[in-house]
Amino acid sequence: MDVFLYILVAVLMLITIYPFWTQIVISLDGAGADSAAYSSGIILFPQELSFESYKLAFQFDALWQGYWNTLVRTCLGVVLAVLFTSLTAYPLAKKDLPWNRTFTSIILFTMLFGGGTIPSYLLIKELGLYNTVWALVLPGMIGTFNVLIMRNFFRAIPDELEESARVDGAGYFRIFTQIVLPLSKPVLATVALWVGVGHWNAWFDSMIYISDPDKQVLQIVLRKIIIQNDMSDINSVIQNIGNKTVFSGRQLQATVIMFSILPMIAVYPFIQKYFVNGVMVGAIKG
Amino acid sequence: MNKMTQAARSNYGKSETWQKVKQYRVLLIMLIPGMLYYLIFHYLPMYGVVLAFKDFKITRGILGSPWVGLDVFNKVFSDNYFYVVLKNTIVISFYKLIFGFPVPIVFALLLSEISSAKFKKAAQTVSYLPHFISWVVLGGIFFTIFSLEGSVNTILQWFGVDPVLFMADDRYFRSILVATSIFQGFGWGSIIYFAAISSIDPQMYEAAIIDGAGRFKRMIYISIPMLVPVIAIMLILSMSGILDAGFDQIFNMYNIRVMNVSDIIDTYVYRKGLVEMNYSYATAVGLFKSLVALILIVSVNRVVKFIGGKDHALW
Amino acid sequence: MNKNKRRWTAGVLAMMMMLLIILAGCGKNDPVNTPANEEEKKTETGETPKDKKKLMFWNLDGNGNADSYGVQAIKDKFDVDIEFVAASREVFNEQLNLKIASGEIPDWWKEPSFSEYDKFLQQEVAAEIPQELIEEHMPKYVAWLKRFLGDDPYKYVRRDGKIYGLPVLWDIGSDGMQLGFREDWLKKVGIAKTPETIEEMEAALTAFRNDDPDGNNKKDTYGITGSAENVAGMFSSVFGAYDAYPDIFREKDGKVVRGEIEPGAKQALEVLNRWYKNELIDPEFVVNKGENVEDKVLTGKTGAIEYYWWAFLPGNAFLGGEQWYDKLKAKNPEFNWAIVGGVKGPEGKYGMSQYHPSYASGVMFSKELNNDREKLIKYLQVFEASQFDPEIYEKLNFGEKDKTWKLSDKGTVEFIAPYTDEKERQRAGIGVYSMAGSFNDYDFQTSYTSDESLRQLAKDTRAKGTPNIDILAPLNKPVYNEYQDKLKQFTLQNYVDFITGRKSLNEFDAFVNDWKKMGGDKVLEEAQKIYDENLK
Repeated sequence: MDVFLYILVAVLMLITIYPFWTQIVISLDGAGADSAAYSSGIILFPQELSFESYKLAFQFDALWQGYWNTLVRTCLGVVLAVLFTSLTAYPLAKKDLPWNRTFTSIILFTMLFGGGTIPSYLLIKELGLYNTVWALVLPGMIGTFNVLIMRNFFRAIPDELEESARVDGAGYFRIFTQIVLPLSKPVLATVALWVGVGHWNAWFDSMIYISDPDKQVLQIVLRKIIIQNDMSDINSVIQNIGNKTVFSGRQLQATVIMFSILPMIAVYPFIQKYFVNGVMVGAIKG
Repeated sequence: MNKMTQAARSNYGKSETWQKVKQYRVLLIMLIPGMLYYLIFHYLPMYGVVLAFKDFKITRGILGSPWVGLDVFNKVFSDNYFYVVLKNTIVISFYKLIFGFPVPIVFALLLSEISSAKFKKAAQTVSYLPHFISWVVLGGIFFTIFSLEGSVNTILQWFGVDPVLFMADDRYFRSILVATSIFQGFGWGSIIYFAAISSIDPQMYEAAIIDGAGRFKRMIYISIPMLVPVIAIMLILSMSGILDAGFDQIFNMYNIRVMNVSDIIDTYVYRKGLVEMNYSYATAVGLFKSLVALILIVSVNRVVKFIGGKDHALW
Repeated sequence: MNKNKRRWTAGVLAMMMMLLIILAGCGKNDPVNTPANEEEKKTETGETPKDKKKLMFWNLDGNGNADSYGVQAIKDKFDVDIEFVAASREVFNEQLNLKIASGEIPDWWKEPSFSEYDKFLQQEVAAEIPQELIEEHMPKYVAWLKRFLGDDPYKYVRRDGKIYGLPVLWDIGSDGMQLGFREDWLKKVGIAKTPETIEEMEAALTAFRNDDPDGNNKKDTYGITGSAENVAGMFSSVFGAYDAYPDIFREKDGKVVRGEIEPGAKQALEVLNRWYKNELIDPEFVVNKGENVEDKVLTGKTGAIEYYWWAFLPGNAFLGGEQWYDKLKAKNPEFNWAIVGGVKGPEGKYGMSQYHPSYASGVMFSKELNNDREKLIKYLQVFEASQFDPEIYEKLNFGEKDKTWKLSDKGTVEFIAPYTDEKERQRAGIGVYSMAGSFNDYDFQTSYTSDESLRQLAKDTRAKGTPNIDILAPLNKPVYNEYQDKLKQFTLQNYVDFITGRKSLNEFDAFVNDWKKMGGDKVLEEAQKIYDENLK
């Protein structure tokens, strides 16, 4: 029984890993006609180990540029999100705050209703954010769901802690920065990571609000190659570096895929715990 | 200051509020940036919904375009294709719910039976991974896996099944969407159930073991009943998102061959508005979606409250 | 404690990983960015006299370079300032539409389709372009148009007597599509004669599939591949053999017909279905996009392919650059293409579906330019000069004569070192940017790129093409515009099903009925009316 259970879970794990593994194999194989990119079937290991396609990807400036842009938006987005989400959530955590219900309803209503693409676009234009990283960061800065999660977390902090600080003459802002925030590290980390992953994987806003190819985020660069099958950029890199190897489209795609997710895969096991904590924080209150 | 206290004295109710305002003034100031944010980025653009009732002329702007009443909606509701899109949205969502919902529960139950902590940890780590990969990348990977020479077809061939072009076959594409969305989300979704299981009192299991209950019986008679409240709430919550069939996923995976089964409201709005310049039409369809979502979420919240999950209600 | 330490180490490692990426990113980017930044500075600080007009040009691939030889020459010659507006090619339409919808109308935009053209007019965002102005400032352009479109080249863009777009045309599209067979493969499988009939083609494709033409002892080659992205271009030569060209309007005995519902199409589908069953057709044609097709051709997975004839010839025969021919030849010295314009069917008919030379409307200008006639004129002049005036054209595309390039004894442009290196040329802004992105006069342009000894070959090859074009392509068809997406999708769906055998061809008549019911009837009715009014 136990063995059966272990095997079952192991198979599930294999199924989860396998799609990523095939990409690794295809990207690492040589460029020959019988490389993994062409062969059909279950691909477990490369026929020959070759880093040629990775060398190529390293020379692919647009990819690096995309990486950089994504990093910038992610860092900026996370900092702003955590700052302003907590700032908004803390007052709302006070149940007897005047007009609390009104404020909360104002926030909640935005979960249900939006103006649509054109007004949002007009707004971005009017504010002068078009074609800047701010257009990717500001519109989604405060997530309503995150506000609610933080609010609930703050509420769960024992009142006595705040009360004693107040007795010592501390104002609310000081309580917020010196007591509440340090105690709320788990929820801050969670929101930060959620927002971070969201930014890392976002592409639609960049597609609409960024016109300059140099400012496009990584996912847009990837989309062009992976989804739209447009290899013109990477082919011109091949030409520029005078590479004579003919790579198949599939191998190039696999390489940029690995290139883009490797850092995520490398970092993720270490931060995974915080996500998990976060889901609990969000779902099961207290 | 003095004036305020005087004013407060004159009216008891008012004075209480003012007292609070005074007491919480720092907090109210802290709220300002957030409220400004909501005002600018959420409430300001809302006037755009009037587009659904106007014949949008670019040169006249949104406000200057002529009103046409419900003409645009009449057009939407008399368009056969709109119903195709609506049906796709609901069907895909429902499939994702029906098939995708139980998987994390089963996975969590399986995992909870595993005694090796290391193995459990590894399994969790692996299963969460796809959740962190964008649909752009996942879409690309699935194109490889489901291609004619891809792994899935190879396995099918072992069983004598002819290869199928999954990504371009309207008989299978929805199944692909559902399967891949399960692949992406099952591990992540299991976290909450896993947490619920580990919070079950171990004494219950011990008592069951003494009574001679096997592993399967313990699962049926202890774990699952203990999970029911969580399951019920998660199920109801996911009902409210029934019109969100997954824009990111579908936009990156669909193609003209499978449009008839995979074009959903969000992709349709995108094409109508941004590609075909039919802004009023796109806004009307979007507004329709928002209204349905509004009704759903309000009723779902009621239900959640009703079955006693006040802690889980959104408001 | 120990656990804490481990946690910290992990965190630091992660941070370092991130830092590494950032550093690598910076290191890579700096050299790329610097020239661009300098440019920006220059244009910002450069003094602009008040009367100098500032013209904008689309920088779709990031190749626009304000200091390149050509752009500098234009600035001097026309006394204008030039600004490049960055844009992403993939979402150009979406972004343009959004821009216009938000009231920010760019000075000009490239060749919308005819239905979009009318949408822009409806939205009242385009400027009228007086015919006299065009004729006065763009004489060479007008002469080029008239060469292909006759005395009234504005007929397709005129609405109520007014012109709102500079007509574009792509003359080599009207006979560009041809059918190429791997000649080396034909030899290998023992076929001496280039296939000219549908039977001969079938025999060749069968051998390509079964007789291991690439000699790797694997059955991994297909007879033909293609792409089901649009019905018109999908195995067009087979449909041509039965005189039915799907997805385009043609005229037969005064009646407008659509190929997809003609009886000939059914016969063609029968052939394709047989080929598919016998595995002659690459089964992935259903999901192929242009890039996959190219991939399959260049890696030798297919023996026949429908494509533009100039890709079947060496680059220096026509457009220059590396064409499919050059790429395959480099890998395989035996290689050659055998090219035909189509294969004959039972009644001797043959051909392939082509593009109408007026495939799109024209370059449109912002309404704002109605009030700035002078600026409009500058644009017209720059377009004329950059596409038709040898002096400016040479500077834009090849740089300074005898400094960056010279005329070789074969009559073609030869770059002088270090400009033989494409990177070096890019740095100098040579040959990567077209100001208008339209108006290509190939007779003029290929005079620089085509080897004199190969010009006859190019001419002869081109002559094989058959001009089966959509006769109504440039005409305004409101009903068609409304139904075309649905009809196209429906046709594609059914055709793929017929070819792959999922649907029996007995159902072809039912398909035709459904097609008509879905709006096809109305489309045909409108088409006949438009034909009678305009072309009879």
